[in-house]
Amino acid sequence: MGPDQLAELVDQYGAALVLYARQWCDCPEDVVQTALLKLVRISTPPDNLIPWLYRVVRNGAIDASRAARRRQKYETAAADHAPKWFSPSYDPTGLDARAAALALCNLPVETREIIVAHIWGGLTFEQIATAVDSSAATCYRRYAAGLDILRQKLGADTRTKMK
Amino acid sequence: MSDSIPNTPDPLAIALSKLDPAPHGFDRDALMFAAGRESKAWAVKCWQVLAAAALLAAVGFAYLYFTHR
Repeated sequence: MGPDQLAELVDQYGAALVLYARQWCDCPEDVVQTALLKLVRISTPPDNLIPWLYRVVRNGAIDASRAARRRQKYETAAADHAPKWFSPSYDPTGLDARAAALALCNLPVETREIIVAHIWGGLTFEQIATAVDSSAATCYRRYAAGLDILRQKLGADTRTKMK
Repeated sequence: MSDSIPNTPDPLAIALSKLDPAPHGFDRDALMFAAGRESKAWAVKCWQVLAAAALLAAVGFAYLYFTHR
């Protein structure tokens, strides 16, 4: 893989991959960089490049979170970091970035990873299934269930704000 | 399977997709440098092996030269 292709990958998928890795660990940039360097090292890029990249990032982030958990209780730190998942929203009619991040953070990880990969990573359910070792139908069911939970949570938050 | 996935995206998914992920914090130049180094790692390894082999051969020939003179 040449430098131009790598730069294109970083520009196109860097932020989404970091967001994906951030679900598990507090060093998502390191995990994504390691995955990109692993991609550079292999002589023939994989056929399904983006699902492969997501899979490597996922495994790296899970390993990093296990290492971090040995050092400290990560759940508390993850909750603290949740508001930093998104750039502040400048659209007054849009969702509140912090509330959305907190609601996402409270989802089960196997649901959240699918939502993040589909919405911000742009992966199809077939590609997500490849990355997480599951079936596309299961991924879609988890995605729909996760959106329902988010709808309740974010809808409740909106109603609370309006009172 | 595709029958169960609706074609129209969920309105909440559309609203969520308008939130931009926080920008990644890695140094692009450092990443490119590391990638360049990684991509040439095999060549460096080859040269190291070749140099070690040449050194061994040189030592062998020197030994033969001095012991059979």
